[in-house]
Amino acid sequence: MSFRILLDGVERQVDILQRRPHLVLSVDGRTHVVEDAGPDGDGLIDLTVAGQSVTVARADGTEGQSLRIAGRTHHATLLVEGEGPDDAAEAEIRAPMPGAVVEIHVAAGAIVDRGAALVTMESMKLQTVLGAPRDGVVAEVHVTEGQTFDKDQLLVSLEAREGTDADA
Amino acid sequence: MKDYPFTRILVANRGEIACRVIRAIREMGLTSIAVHHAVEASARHVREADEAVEITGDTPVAAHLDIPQLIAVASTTGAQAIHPGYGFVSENAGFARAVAEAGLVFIGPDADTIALMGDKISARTFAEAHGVPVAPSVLPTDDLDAFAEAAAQIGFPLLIKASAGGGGKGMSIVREASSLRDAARLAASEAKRYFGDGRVYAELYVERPRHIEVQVLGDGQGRVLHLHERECSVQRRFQKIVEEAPSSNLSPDVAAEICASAVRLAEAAKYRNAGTVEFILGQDGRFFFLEMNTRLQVEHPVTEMITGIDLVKAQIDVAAGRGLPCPQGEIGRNGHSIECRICAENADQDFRPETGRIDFLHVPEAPWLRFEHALDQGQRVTADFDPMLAKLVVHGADRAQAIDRAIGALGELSILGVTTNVDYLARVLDNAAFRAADIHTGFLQEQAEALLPPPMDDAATDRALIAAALGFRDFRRMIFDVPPLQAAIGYWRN
Amino acid sequence: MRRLQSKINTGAADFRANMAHNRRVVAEFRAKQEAARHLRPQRDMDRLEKQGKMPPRKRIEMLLDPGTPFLELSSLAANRDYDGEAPSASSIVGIGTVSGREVLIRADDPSVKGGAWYPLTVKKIVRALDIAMENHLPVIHLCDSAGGFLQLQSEVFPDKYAAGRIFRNQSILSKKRIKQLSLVFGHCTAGGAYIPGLSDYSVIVRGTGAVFLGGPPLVKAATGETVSVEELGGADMHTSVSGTCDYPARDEADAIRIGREIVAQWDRPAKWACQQETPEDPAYDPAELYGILPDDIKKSFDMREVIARLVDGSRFHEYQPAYGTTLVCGYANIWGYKVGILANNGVLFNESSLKGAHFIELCNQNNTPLVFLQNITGYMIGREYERRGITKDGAKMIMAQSCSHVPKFTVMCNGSFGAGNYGMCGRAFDGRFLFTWPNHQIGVMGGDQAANTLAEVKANQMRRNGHTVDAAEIEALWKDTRRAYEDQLSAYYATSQLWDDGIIDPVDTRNALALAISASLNAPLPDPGYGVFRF
Repeated sequence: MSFRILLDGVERQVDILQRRPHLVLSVDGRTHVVEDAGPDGDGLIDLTVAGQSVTVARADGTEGQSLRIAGRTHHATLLVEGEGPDDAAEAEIRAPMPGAVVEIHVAAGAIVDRGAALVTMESMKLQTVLGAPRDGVVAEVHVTEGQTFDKDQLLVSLEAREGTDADA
Repeated sequence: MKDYPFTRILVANRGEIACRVIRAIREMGLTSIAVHHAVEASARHVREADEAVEITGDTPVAAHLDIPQLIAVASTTGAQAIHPGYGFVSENAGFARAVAEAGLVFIGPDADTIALMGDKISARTFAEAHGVPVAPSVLPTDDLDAFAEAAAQIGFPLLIKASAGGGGKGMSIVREASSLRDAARLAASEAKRYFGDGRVYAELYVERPRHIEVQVLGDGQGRVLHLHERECSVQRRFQKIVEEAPSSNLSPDVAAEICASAVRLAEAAKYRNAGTVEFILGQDGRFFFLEMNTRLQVEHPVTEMITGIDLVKAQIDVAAGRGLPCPQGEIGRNGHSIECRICAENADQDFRPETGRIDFLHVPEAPWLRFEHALDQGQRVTADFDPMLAKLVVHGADRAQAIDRAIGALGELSILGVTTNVDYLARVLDNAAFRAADIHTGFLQEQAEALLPPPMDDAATDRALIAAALGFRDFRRMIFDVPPLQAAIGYWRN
Repeated sequence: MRRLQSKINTGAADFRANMAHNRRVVAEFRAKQEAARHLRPQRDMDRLEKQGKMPPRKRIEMLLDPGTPFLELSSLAANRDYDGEAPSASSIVGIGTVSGREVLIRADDPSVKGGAWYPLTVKKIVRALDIAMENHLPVIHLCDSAGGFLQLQSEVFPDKYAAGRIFRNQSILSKKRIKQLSLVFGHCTAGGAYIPGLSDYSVIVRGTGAVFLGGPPLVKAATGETVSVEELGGADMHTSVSGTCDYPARDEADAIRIGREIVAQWDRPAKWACQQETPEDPAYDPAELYGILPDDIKKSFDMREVIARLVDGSRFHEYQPAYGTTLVCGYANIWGYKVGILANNGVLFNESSLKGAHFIELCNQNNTPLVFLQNITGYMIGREYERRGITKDGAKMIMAQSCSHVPKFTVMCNGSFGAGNYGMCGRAFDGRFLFTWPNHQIGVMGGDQAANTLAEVKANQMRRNGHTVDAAEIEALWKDTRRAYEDQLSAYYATSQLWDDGIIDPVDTRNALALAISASLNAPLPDPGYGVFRF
């Protein structure tokens, strides 16, 4: 298990080599002794790395961590091995249960953002809006308004947006 | 204050300047009333004021520009005076007039003075008439042929501007006669587009100009003090980001001459209120009138730092008819002060405004430091308002000390969660040319390369990465959530 | 506790000779281990790569918390079987830390015959699940197996401790609230399908993972139905239709990430409180063990010298130092854990047997785990000893040891012969873990003795039949017997058959024991009690 961290846009690898008597980390293969890892959480934190005291201001926000060291601001995100959007599973929007189409919100060719309403369906007296599972382009709408459908019937298919990285 | 002519002041502004004005009002023993849009209901200026009233508008900015509503709020809250801060309605003659007509005290000049100085042409004509040097120029016209002919008479380089403009829109520099006509046409069309007024004018362009301005304070009776000059040459996109007082590298004679010119202008206008007369200064020591701002200036604290005079209190006293704080001779000029404007912007990407959430805020503290802001941790920075978040103002015995202190304070300041220009400002102050006071309004462009973030060495990169890693909950868990024996043995394979 | 004072002269010729000998022995062990772990036909590695699969050891490394130990068990299982075709019995078992929890990891090895289960694979998996059960260790299965090795099905399938035992153990583990997680990287066919099926949690990799009782060829043969792997038992089918698996993963790394996150949700039942001190390194270098172990099994050595290189600070509180001196008993700490050590310093006599039985009872009284360091040629034989009741004294020691409620750990240090193996907690006695040093020999008697005994029997036979004793024939018989016997005495033979939990380098013993003790503390102590001691 190793960690990759995107620091100011550059991907780096951080490994935990040793915990006792001191924490030893390796950054891209360079080894550092961390005598004091500082407390958990955000705020002003003092660390000791390679015998040097370092004061860090740190905030772990929703879009990664901002930190400030020695008068310099950085942005870091933790890249977890294997983590990322699951494209294969999300190209097709299928009926979660039998029902009828109340409204179709998009047409083939429409560019949709994740969460955009695609189809409103009704089943068991309950209306549900089916949203786009990811950013993409509507490849085809397979149903029409008023049409009834069975569970798992394909309603809308999406394709990747041209010129955009599917992982972005 | 019992015998004060008014006790309740509406502060028709927001953000750091509202907080600054509210502070002065409180210190004077008067009552402050803040206004706010719904999106800023819990903002600092609302909390710090004695009272607060919500104002409405299509956008938050529209609410703050809504003159009838502001007057109505003043009436219903029993405010007797209004302080407009800077921006919004502060230089709006119509507002000053409406305030007066409502029987309230406007903490600022009268509407006519605002109107006079608000128009570049009338202000310039007025200045010229009272012996304040103005750059040789061509009067505004929409007759482009006549304009071009007259402009060529002045010589080159020429600066062409929209007559109604500001903020650099419709502005261009012409270095030779051949491109004059095109530039004028372009300026006219931009002027038409942005300001609905196609008139353009031209004046002699000063190479490597410095922006020098003089803080004045008038009582409206013809008595005017000057509180020395400020240097505001460090600008990006024609907007100041670093200001100093006094100006560096300015001979005492020129300084005195500039200040005298400013006083002359304000006296002629029987100026009431704090105001700023802006000049452009050539490398040869010639200076020309630029404009007069009839309000409190963003960078007023640097003047307060070296003179010890509270300009907001002075504004209120003048508005209350209490006269000027002291005779000219008693206005000191102590040490050096620098202000840095902290903006939510990306200095590495053409100063693009940034938004976000202030996840962490740490403000440095020192007796020689003023950090003017209205920020709160957790606050959202949106595109609703100006990207300026705060001002960091330092004082030092001399310029070198002020620079070092400012760099130190910027280093300690932490605003996390939204990209700011804090790091960039520190690089600006530490720039060799800046330290040598070799500055002019094109300084930031000229030094653009030197002001890029220096490359990080491995040690600094690794420190940052380690600090970042230790800030991630998952990473910390991976370190500290291991049983003691396994932690002690470490990596081991049999 | 006082430090043991070593009497070893590290400059002496015999020390240096031992050192050279044992370094060779260990190098040979390391070479075998390296081959078992990594030496595979290129085409098998290519096939894995083409399938987008990681080698199983890489999966384990990714699963483990970084910078933590992994105690691999039985790395040389099956090394003497199946013509060496099933390295590590095509299965990897070990104890490590995942998301801060001590777990047992069991991984199929798809680089060996597609991860097929040989009889010894099954034995290894059953043993692994026994370890999990005895020590209350959660299990993570890394599934990627083609199923039972059909050529040997009779040895894999029907018996009590054959494949069915795996699923029985899985069920009992769950009943005991010991958690199981399956990460399905490849196929889980037939019985193998029950591994995820009987796990509390399962993750399956889209594209390569599949779970079914019968694969597409079997389905085709049995019912004529044509069906793809994905349709029959792929990730999406099982996670969205059948509910056999819980989480779909887009690739192996994703499966490991999900698995780690699942483990992070598990509770951490308290361990029982074994006495602990602050750990201390041994005062003597464990590498000196190589100079202490003799280059000839017949040469004796002082087990205190071994203890001094295993325990914290080389500190040892010796019990009854002057009585029954062929069995050294006493207290020490290993990585802080208090243990009672029993170590052979010669043949077990009546006194040493009684001392051992008594010391075992003391440790049970005190809830102190027991560590047996075996170097034993047996209980003393002969008329005098039988008259003094060597059998009933040995029986007392076996009774005390067998009925101990504290965890027991055995290290086979040099030799284990005859009934001494029983008294000193041999494999049959449910020690939590048993490790063997590569120089070790094990058998009912030594090679020379066995050859002598058989030669003697043969010679008597010849005499009885009126033949003259043919010295050359007897000599040949002696040599053949000895060779065959020596081969079976070898630690490699023992570990191939899973008579132990693996051969370890002597210098690794301290860590291995500490990790084993740490694991053992997860299971609550059972009630104490003994059978009838014969007095």
